[in-house]
Amino acid sequence: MSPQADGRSDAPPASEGAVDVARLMEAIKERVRERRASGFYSEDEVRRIVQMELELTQSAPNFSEEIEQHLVRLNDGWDTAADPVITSHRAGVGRLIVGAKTLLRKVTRPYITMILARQVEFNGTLLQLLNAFVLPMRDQVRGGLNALSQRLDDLLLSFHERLAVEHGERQRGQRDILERLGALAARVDTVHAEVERLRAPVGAAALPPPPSVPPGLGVLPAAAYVRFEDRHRGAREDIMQRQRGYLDLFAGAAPVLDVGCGRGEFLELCREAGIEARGVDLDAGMVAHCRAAGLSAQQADALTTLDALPDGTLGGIFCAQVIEHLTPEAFIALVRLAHRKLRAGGVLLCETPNPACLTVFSGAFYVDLTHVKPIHPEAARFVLEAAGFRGVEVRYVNPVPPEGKLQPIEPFWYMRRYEEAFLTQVNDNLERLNQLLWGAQDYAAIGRRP
Amino acid sequence: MRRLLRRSRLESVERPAVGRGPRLGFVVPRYGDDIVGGAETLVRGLAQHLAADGHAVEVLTTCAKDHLSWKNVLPAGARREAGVVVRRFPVQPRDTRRHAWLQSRILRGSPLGPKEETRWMQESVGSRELFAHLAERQGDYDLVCFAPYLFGTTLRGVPLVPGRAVLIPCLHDEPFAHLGVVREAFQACRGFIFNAPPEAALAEKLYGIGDRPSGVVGLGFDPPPRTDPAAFRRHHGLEGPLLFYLGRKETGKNVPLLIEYALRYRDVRRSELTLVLAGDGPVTAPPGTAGVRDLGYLDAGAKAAAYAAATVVCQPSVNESFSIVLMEAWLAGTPVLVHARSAVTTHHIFQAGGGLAFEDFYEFAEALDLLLEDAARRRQLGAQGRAYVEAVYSWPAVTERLRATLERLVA
Repeated sequence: MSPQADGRSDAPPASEGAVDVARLMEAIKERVRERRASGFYSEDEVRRIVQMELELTQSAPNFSEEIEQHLVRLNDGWDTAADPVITSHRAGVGRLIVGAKTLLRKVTRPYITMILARQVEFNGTLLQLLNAFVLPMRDQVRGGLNALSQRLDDLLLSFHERLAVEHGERQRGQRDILERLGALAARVDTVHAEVERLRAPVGAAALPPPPSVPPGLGVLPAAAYVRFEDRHRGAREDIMQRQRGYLDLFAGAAPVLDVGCGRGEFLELCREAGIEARGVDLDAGMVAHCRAAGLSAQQADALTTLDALPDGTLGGIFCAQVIEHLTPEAFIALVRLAHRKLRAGGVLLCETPNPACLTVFSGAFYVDLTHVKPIHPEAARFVLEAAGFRGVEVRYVNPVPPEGKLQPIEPFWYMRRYEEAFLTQVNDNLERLNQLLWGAQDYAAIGRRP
Repeated sequence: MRRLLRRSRLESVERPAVGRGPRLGFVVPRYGDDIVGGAETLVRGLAQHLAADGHAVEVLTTCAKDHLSWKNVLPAGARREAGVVVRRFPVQPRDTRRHAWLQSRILRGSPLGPKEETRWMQESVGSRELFAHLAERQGDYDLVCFAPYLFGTTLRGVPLVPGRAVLIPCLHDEPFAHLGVVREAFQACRGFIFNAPPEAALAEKLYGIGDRPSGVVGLGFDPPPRTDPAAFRRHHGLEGPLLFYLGRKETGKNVPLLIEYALRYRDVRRSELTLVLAGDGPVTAPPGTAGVRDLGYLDAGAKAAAYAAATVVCQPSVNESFSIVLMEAWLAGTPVLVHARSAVTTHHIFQAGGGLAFEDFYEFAEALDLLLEDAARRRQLGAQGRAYVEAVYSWPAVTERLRATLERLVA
């Protein structure tokens, strides 16, 4: 063999930053090993790949083609009496030989034909029969096989789909049952804790009294809280926009009492909707603000005011951003009084910061010095139900806008499956964090007196 | 050399035009500027460049243009085409049905008896007049180069010019390569011109070349024309990563495998990859198959733009003795993906550092991942490929190797 054929002489010199193909090929083999070991290709996938390779390597002509070839040969040679082509490969004498052979053929033809005629007829008939049967039969078999294979594919596909749907349903059902059990267990725990608390001897665990404050010193000037609300609660228009969603609950619920009416946003919404409403607020500045806007409001303690009203006379009690200013006892008293003062079908709405949204504690809740205690939505529901309200609903409002949350990461088109699975997990985690940190900032517990 | 000079002097009466080096005849079943085919392109390129280099070159071929019908469409007789004397002879009548029948049996691997093999060879494309010319005028040529090995023109022509026959086999491992008549032809040759080292190794393994003279030459390439790949993509509405196949769309070229692999890749990797097929041939995906586009036949200009527009070019064929596609892709700076079971394309890949090879679907997918995810890596692989073609397969380099090989062959 020549020196050029040794296979190593024609490589160009390696340049700077060159990509080493041999190393890349090793990396490919390693990645295939890893991916197959990690189960990236499911059993089904592996089966399909093997099947694909098998189909592709079996490209030789099949049995039916062989039958066709035989048929072609029979059609070619059935007429055994046909004249053969007489040739000779010898130059010169060849022509003479051909002439002699042709003459001999002419002389013997009648006798040969006589003998072969019946054979030719037999051959022809047999071949006609074969032609009539073999090709249509082959097509029929091929068609039948194709139809069968199609049907099998369809069946497999629908079977797979049905399995997937049923599996999904079963999983959802299980999750639902687990959630309900969890909720039930939580309720049992709450009740159990409450029972334990009630059983405990009064005063056994009394805390030391808070330090005494000189009279007058712990109170801010009247106008200060209005200014504070302006700065931290939000613009009046925004609040009205948020509270507009509650109006439907109070349609036909006149007279409405707005407990802690503040700057009177809800009173104004009621006025616009033609619902008779008045407000009470402890803060003189707020009340003055309402009155200046032509709204009915009085400076008074909510509990005292409610207590003084005749029973079953109110259609609705609206109580936004108030209960977090109360001690638990005062909150329970407010709800029980509300139940007593509402007529049948009357509605109580208590809106308050949502402690299930953790960023509420880094902002809204502790910004206000007068907030006493966050109230968990389930605690509010429990208090309303315990006071006799029915159909108690917790409505989550004032969600953090999406741009204020952690942003999910978009998958890239060239990602591999395990990278996508990883990304999905990260995004699920982000979503859970979003729920916990930046969910609804407020909620409203709504109940009706039966 | 002295013998050569003496012969030249003696025969110069019969041949007025004597060039430098040995007097050469190329025997090829088809010849012409518009004839597509690996061996045909190779012989045309070698003959024209030798003629331009001052060699006396003649091409002996048939009047046929189409490799399926072998109809005599070009006029018989001698004429000069691009500096090369081309003698065309009519194709002799053949029993095509018998030939096809024997051919299908060979492909299926059913063994043929010696008589059947001879019959197959005689029914393969040949020309009585061409054979007569070879027998009678062999003294006009110092060397007669036959290409490729598979046709009647070669198998029946080689024994007619004993001592002068050189084979440019364009050989790859296929059922035909194992026939007795093919072995006889190889054994009757004075020497060989191979396209790539693995081809030479295969010939050694199958037939035993021994110490007969041979050389690895291959085909030469001119720098590619300037193209506008973006305009090509726009014109055909192609977007995103494009995996190109350029060539005849045949089962023998492994095109069905490529279609399957590309569709599976899209499915498993959820990729936006588009497989673009360009060329003639019966194999394609069902129309409207998402992820496959068939552009049909492309002319030379469009093909050059296609190579540049491709993200990766794939050559899945394992029946290659050289693979022009690889060189053309590399000249456009595009990396290639080849089937690892082809010794020749894999050889080029490793020598050039111009792409990757796959053995099965798993490797195909990983290799595509590596190529698609890193544009800088693709550019570098393409550049390495281009440097390889320019160094090893530029026309000056090829002509130099050919001249050296011919010198060894006449020595």
